[in-house]
Amino acid sequence: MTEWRLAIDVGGTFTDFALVHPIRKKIEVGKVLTTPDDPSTAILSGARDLLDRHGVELDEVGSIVHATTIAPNTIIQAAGAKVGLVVTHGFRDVMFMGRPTRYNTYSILELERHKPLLERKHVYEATERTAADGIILTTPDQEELKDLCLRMAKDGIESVAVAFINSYANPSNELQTAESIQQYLPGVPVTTSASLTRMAAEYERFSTCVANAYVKPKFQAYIDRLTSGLKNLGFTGDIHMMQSNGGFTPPEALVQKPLVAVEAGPAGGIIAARAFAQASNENHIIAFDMGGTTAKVCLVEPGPLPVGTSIEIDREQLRDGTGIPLRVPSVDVIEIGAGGGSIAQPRLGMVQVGPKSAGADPGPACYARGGTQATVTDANITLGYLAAEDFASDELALSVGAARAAISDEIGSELGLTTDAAAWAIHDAVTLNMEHALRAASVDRGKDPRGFALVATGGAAPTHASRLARRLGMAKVIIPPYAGVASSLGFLEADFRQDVTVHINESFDENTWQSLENRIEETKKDPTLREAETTSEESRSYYETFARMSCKGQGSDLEISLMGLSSAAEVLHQFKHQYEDLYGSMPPAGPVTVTSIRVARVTESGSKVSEAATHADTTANPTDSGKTREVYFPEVRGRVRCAVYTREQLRGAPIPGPVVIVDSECSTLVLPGDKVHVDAFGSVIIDVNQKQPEDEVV
Amino acid sequence: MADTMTRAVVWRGLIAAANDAGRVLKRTAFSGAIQEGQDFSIGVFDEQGRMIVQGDFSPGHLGAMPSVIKHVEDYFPRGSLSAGDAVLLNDLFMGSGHLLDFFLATPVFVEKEFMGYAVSCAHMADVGGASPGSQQVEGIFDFYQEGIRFLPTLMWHEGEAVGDVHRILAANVRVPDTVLGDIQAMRNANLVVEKRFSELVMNQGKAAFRQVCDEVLSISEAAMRAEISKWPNGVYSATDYYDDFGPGTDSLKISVQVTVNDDSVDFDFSNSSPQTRSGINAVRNYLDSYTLFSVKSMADDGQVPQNAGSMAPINITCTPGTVVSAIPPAGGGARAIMQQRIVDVIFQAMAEAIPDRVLAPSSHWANPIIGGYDPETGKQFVNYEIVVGGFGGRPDRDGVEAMSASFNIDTVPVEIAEAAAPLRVLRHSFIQDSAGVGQFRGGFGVRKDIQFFGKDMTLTNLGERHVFQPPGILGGEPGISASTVLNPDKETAKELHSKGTYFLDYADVVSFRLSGGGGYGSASERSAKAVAADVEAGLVTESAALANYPAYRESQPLKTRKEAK
Repeated sequence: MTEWRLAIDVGGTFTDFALVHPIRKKIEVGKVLTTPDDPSTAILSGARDLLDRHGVELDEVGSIVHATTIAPNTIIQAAGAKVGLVVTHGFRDVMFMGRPTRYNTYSILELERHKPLLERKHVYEATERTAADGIILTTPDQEELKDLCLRMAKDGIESVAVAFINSYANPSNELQTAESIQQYLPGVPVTTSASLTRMAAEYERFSTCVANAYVKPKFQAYIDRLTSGLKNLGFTGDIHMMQSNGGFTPPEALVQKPLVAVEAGPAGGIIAARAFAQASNENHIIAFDMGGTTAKVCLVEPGPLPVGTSIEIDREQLRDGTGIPLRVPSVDVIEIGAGGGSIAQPRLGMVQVGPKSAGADPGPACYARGGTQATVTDANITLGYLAAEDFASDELALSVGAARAAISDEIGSELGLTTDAAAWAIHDAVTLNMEHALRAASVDRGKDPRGFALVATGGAAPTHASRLARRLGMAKVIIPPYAGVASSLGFLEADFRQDVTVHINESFDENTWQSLENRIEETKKDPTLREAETTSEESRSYYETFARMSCKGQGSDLEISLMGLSSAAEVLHQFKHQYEDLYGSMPPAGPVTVTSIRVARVTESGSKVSEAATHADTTANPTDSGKTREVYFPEVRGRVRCAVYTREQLRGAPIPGPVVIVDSECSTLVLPGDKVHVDAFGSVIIDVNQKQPEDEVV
Repeated sequence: MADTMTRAVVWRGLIAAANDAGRVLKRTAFSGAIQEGQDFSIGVFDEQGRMIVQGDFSPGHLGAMPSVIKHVEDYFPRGSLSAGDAVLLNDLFMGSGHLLDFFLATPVFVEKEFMGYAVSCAHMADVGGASPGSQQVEGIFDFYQEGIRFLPTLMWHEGEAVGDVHRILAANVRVPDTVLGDIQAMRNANLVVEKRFSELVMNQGKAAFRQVCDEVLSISEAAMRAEISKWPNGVYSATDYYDDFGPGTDSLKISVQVTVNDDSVDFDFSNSSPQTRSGINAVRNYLDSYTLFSVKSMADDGQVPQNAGSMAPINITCTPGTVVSAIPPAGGGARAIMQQRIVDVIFQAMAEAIPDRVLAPSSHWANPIIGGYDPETGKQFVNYEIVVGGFGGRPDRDGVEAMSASFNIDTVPVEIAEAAAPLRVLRHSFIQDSAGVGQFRGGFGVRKDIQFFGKDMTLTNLGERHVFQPPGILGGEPGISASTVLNPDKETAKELHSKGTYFLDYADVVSFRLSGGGGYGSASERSAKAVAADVEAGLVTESAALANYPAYRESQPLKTRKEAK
């Protein structure tokens, strides 16, 4: 493959582009404002601009990898289709009951569930039943279905969801019903719950099915516009759609279940972090992304990406239980409400940061657009970690005075701290929040963060990364190049991929090993796994297999990779090993249950973006920038004059901190005692001094 | 004073430790009450035995947790425990009011110096006694019939399980593997607290750590006093009733007198009914739990931290020997059914004083237990069923459906329950016209019909509000009553008592129907639009809407209005 490859990542504010030629070792990036009404407008004009700038014709581009936030935005803006839900008789209220747990134990006055994506009057009960073991007790009644369809037509239903009790064990009633609906309501899209997930628990399955039906028509229309628009511009290559599982699939497959791509952007970011870390010889990393409103953390080790079975979308202030649960394979990310725009408030004699964010409008106080609350960005500007002049643009002039005033008024005077001390308290508090998230992603999963490198992407992460690494005893921080468009670069590192999870719930021992292997072989034949394939690329395809296991009777389970394991004893040993890593000791000699298996089919996509990363000369000494500024460090109880470099100036031998490195979208802070250099791939590498004492108090 | 950063690191670190330990407990436990019921909690104590933080899990342990260490130290004086020891207690008077709640306390040592305790509490699946699940109401006269009881007892010593005691426990419960697995999970959870606790002390230093503990308590106390100061001074009271304590018994009165005095508040429940000779009795710790829960909810929506300091301004009294402050040998296995009424009566008392901080009385929850043999496998099964009703109406919005307004519980999904036991759920839905009418209506009642395919099955029913409906407040109307019906679609259909014990036949259907939540404010204040939305959703019938809501009636064409009359 000698052609150009183009990645397009549509986000809420910006649409990012990465244009790569692996052989010629070219990486070009671009960024335009997203056009929310029709994102394909920005895509087409932005792609055109980027290609023109670098003298590339669209017909020289072999493939485009694309991710869009259309599906999640449709849900967040409550702008989806009028959904009709066909359910098992007696279960009309599954979607409205949700789970009975309160996400906040004590907030009974204001607590509300997420509003379901359909109306109760649009739930239609069908006489049918499947038992928990998959035996069909009652088949759907054709006359009744016909009648249901007449009612749906009359009610103006635009998209149908079919979700039956126990269909995870046997989807045949759902499939039969979907067929009838297509016959009686031609042209109306139908989603069946079992096509999306084969995991038991009705509310989560129904919710996934309804959400898919809700976004499907809009997604289909968007894909149609995009593909015809690209064709009109002369594009003749393949379009690949990025999914939340870290792999891509053709658009024809994704329009059937757009929900599997709601977290595609973050998945790309993690893949990019891994690729650049690998280029710098780091294979055990914690990917850490921090933007304007949230921070995301994911622990990555050699082997398959960590893929979970569920996510929750449209959470209120990122609190678990406030959003819509979706049972779709998704890269396993911990997300907290800690970003540059997170608002600081005094509480109980301490500073509390987030989860509320000032957003883009009015934004932090330093934007001087009317924001008066102190944010993390205001603290970082006050401390000298960010400088107003580094980020000045025609649209935005940052005001240090406004930042200092907000911090003094909102925090300093309330807690009796100087403005510098108050700013440090904010920086420290948000770092503590991220430290807890990093611990949750590592220590709580039986991993010692000291064996990992911290890879920081996103606008705000490089400012906090060194401090975090020091707190957690991590020896190395990596800030990859193009950190502002990391997700789109990650798309060009991905492969075709489909995941299928099947509910099992059987005990596991030597006697059942064979039957489990048979189930896996059977699952490999699932047509879903072939959806991502455009041609017969058998030679570049392989399977990944996993089992979720628990001690019999336990409510939660662990995923074990089955690759390389060839006997029941080895699997049990691996389970015990992971269990004890996580929780301490296993209960004595109880039986073990396999709750589900996951099979992924991966087809390699050929050349990767990491192959295009340049090998620069690293023997030269860094160019002296001649620029300095006053920066606050608690270690020295005040401000010190600190050298300011650009990434290009830093290539070569390591220099000692404190140093500030300014990129176009972020500012990297190197602490006193640490050392920094830029490596052959353009990544900033910080060696964190482990002997440095914990922060002294100001 | 510790500086603001050190305080934040220690305090938030301990809260994170308690919450993370709770997640470990939930993930590694075997009993449904822990996995889905969230029926557990974690407390972290300092070396003086003061509770510094409590994880936000079951409010049912709010009352008992703070005094657990006092009871442990009565038997194991401070300093006598070694690293790796773990002490178990489940006495209902020392603990949370029934034998099913196990408390496991482990000392925390830092550099061989004793610095505090980690305590976990969790609801076991069974502790022996008269019936599976150990919650029978009928025929229970004292707690000895309810299962095995531990006064503070060493379960692990210097890291080794005390085998004899484990064996005694295993021999006295119906599901020994589950119970032993659960206390192992509790020990794992305590280890998480111990590890984080000692890391914090090592990093911050012992002196700073002790200083922060003092400050956490004083800051929390001040925060709670500031909230109570917002309530008008005065004496407020209310009375509500429990249906009864078994077939053929009388109703039980629960009465509260609340005195708000500047920045402190007193609750006196002495005027409640005497304790019963049944499993329906709450001990003082349990009364304290739900009184504290109510105060926390009324104060700043639960934002005040949970520890010994924030409880100081709250004084609870009740004559020993009442049904909400029972003394030995009262049974208490079924006391969980009593919690909602403690909350309800407090909110009723405070409705006029702080109308924007209370809910109307909520629907109830049902906790029937069905045990028997699966004819296909020959194995015994115990189905710990939980059906949850809805909230009462609220100051600015309707009650939520199918969610408890007191303890925080999850339920087992139908698909999981059907895979685990010989049963089939035939219906799980809201009951039309069941919500208490008002400006903000209550949550609708929930109906769950289950068919059981077992042999030798026993149903131990446990429900409430079959007789006394959840009242409305500030002009709102009550929700409809609850009921339990055996084989509702057959000619032989019969109503079952809310607390009766019954034998079931193969393929019997039991229909559990919960009450609706009470209404808040007068129905004449409810907008026609809000009523119309409920009618359109099929939750309220057209005729009920016309009969109950004037604005809706006025909004309809004259013809409809006349027909309604």
